[in-house]
Amino acid sequence: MLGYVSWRDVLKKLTLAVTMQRPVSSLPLSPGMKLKLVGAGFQSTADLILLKPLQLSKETGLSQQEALEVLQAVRKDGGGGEGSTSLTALELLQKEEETRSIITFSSQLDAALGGGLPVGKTTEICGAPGVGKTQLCLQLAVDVQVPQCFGGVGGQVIYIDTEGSFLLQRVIDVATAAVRHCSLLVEDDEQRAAMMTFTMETILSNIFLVRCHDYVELLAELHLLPDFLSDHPRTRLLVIDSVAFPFRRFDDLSQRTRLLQGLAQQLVAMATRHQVAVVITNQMTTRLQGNQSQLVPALGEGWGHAPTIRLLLQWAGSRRLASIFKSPGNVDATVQYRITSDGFRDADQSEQPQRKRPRTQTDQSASSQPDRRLLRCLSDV
Amino acid sequence: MVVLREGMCPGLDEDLVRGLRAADIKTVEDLVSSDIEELAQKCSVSYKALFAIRRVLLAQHTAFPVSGADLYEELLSSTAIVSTGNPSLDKLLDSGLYTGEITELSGGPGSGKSQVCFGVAVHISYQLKQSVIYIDTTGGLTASRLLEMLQAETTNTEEQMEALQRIHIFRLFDVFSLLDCLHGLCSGGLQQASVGGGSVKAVIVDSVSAVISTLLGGKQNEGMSLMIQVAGVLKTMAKDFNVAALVTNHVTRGGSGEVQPGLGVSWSHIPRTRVLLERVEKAVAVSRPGLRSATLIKSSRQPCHIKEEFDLQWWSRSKGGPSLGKRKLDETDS
Amino acid sequence: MNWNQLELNPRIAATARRALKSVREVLCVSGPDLQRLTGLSRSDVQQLLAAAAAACRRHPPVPALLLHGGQCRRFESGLRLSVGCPILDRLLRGGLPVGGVTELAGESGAGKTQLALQLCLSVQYPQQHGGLDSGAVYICTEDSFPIRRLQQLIREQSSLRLDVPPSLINRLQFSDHVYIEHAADLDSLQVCLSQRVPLLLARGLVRLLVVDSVAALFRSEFLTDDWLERNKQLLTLSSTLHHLSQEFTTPVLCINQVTHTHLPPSSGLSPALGLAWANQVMVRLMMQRLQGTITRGNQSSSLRRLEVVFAPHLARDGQDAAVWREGVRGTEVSEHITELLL
Repeated sequence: MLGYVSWRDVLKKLTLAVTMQRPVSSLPLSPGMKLKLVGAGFQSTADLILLKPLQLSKETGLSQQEALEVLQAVRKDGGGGEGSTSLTALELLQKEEETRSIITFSSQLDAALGGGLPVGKTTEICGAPGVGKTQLCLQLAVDVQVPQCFGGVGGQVIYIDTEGSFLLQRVIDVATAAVRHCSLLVEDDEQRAAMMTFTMETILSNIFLVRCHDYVELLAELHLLPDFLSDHPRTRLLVIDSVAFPFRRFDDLSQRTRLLQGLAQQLVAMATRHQVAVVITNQMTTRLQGNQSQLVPALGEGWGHAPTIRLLLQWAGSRRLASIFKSPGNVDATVQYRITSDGFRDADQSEQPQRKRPRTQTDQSASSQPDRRLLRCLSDV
Repeated sequence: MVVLREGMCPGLDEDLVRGLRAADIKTVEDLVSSDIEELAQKCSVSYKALFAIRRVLLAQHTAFPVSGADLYEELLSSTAIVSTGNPSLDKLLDSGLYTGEITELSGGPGSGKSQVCFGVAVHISYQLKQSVIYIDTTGGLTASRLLEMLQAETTNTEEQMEALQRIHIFRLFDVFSLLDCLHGLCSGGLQQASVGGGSVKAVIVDSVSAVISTLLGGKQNEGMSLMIQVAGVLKTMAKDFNVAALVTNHVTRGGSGEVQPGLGVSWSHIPRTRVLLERVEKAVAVSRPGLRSATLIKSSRQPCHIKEEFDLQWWSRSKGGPSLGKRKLDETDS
Repeated sequence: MNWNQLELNPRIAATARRALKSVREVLCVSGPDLQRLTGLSRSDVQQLLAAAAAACRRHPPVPALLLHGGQCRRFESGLRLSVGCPILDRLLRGGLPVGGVTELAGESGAGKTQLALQLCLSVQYPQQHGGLDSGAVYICTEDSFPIRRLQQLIREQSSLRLDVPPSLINRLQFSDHVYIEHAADLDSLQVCLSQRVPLLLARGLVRLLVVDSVAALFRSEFLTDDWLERNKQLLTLSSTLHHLSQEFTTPVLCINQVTHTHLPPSSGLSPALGLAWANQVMVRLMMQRLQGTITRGNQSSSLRRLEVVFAPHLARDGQDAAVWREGVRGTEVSEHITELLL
């Protein structure tokens, strides 16, 4: 019956036919439902695609509603991965060039990060207590609101405080300094008009604060955040200060790793879908290896993969250094900074242990905006 | 256990399926193992027709014996080796990524996994003029970095843009989206991506552990089954479409502080080749922060635990300076 | 939290209740496993998650401007507990923040306990005089409570607090509102912090918690080899303190000893208990004894310095101070000069 067709062609055709069929067990259904389907002989989506809900429910013993859900899951698959449409690297590049980064008010750190804190990515700030993690977070919460005509992104911020270290007094300091700073830069009418809505009060009204007392509250908040972000499309920054605090005391470490991984994926998804820069802070811990102790970021090895960019703040004598420890877009670099009464700023010395990557087109296009450069120059005034 | 459906083979129409079902014959297995004569009477169909149907179904659903020689021939005709573009890595991998196989890169944070993936993607799209599927599950893909790597290869903007267009990106962040995407690629997506460029030579998943490890751990076992699903579809895709699958994995620290790839024992059987990337912690590293070491920890072709050093800067080196990589190679040889 | 409080289809709630111990657990289980445990469909699980998340979160995001106007009782981040001396308050920008753990570290004799006792009194003043209108609980872990010194401080209050009308000072029954607890080991401290202290806080009888000192318990009970166990205990203690502070918007002051280490930023002397503890501290203050003495009338005191090591809202700075009969006071520059002439 097979005629003279070579067996190899048949083999190829058949294996192809098999791979076209998606196994039922890979569908997002509850294990009980999958069991019933497989038990009734339905192994692949091809077995199901032509069925009606009523038919399916009769043959498998699933309720009608369940049968409907099964068929929805099957049909959704048909379109070749709907909801996850692909784009080419060229399209992504165009998107990246359209989004501005959030300036840190430290021109050297901005340069090392390729123009500031990238929107749409997750960045982790780790460091010992008192080195300036919260200061950088507060600075960014204000910076993200710098109007667009000053080279900012003019966005709102959601700030999740788990340590209780969001102190209004300090936010007012930083906000007032930023307003004063921008008012010195006003050159044209557009900027003058923008200053009307860039005041200490508007800055405070654009910071949405959440206080979470334990990890469950944090998980709950993150679950509800996508709705908040849809309602507040101007949000460009999400800060969690810190993610370590609620997760440090945990008895079941494998459970912790799993929850943290889930949290990381939620953050990445939000950063990408809502064009938000995600900033999380992490504590340092001592790792003993043999007789040597070493300072490493807390929450374990697995968590280290969660943020796209890892920024390490550390003391070197009395100087404060910020090192980019990992970043897919930038080369590792170390810059010096200081914390002034106005906020996070460049260090005085011009001598910097710095390594810059060759400038790319993107960099040039970003830095060629005159306002932005002005802002940078004046940030060390 | 395949359900009988109308139109599966000539002669198997709706009426017959209903009739068979009434006789408690639901699956192919039921049919081929039943007494045809008795069945023919029960369903009032001709014995001949039923016999013919059985033959076709048997032919469709039995495994074919394949001789080793044929398999080897098949392998030779279909397997290709895709260079990573980096001589040190190619040496480690016995000249590059093999199509039809899964290759895994594991390493700690900042060990350069994504950078290697970028480099491979750029090399395939620019040098080999073939398409690449890049599945980004960590949000780490930065197109400007890809551009930067391309700029090191050529100054021709047109060529850069063409190469970028041959890299197809999926950004998805949970395991079901990943499964949807991989199955979608199997049923036509791969051919679609090939249109307008070369054929797809590699599928990169960076990282596979990010979506799976959210489901593992504790007393829960649903994650294990989903992990095997991902492994299965990756494997069949690599085999049937002759693409190289490159996945990244995180690392965990064992009891005595040694580093090992994540996702546990069940996953360790999935990739054919596993490479561990690490930062080089020595004096040289101060002047060359991009220096990394790669260790082969599983391979069916090379002895394990070969170690090579390479520089992440390799992919963004300026055009005039390929000597850097060469010198590197000599160093490791000596 | 109760299953009945969830805004959820009763069918889903009932199914979930059978499979899971608590509403909080819903959020700790991955989506596919929720489906497996409950047998619910994917869309049902989404509803369950959303309802559980809404029930577990305390409040929706609040614009920080509302805090500024004091319209949000949950966040009183502007409120401070005065130290009782305007010069030291200036250093601390008003005093101790009411949410968060403040650490006061120093060598013995630096004046840590003196400052803690003073805070136990200043907390009893009404808010317009820098207090919190409530009492204090003082947990001693090493020495017995310095009751005589407290009585002396109470007697001298009118000379310390010149800003407060004497009639008000006389009306306050200071010693009735300082609750003293003794905890000789970690277990009894944990019992105290989990049972008696929350009761006092909940009844509004106290709004300041002092632990004098945290280091003593950890120094005596652990040898170097049970490092992990020690860290775990430290985390448990610090998170209990943090939780009490946040839950009752109450300042928590922990007195700590110092050790010689080379941990930045202050190499030389640094607070004990290492990084595991430091990570949980919001405001770190250090007190030290300087060379030289300072006299005022017939009293003399050795010169001290109160330093801010780190705090989210304070600059790294310091202020010279002295311990007088009526309490700890910052020294003005003019006073300082007389000290130098001595």
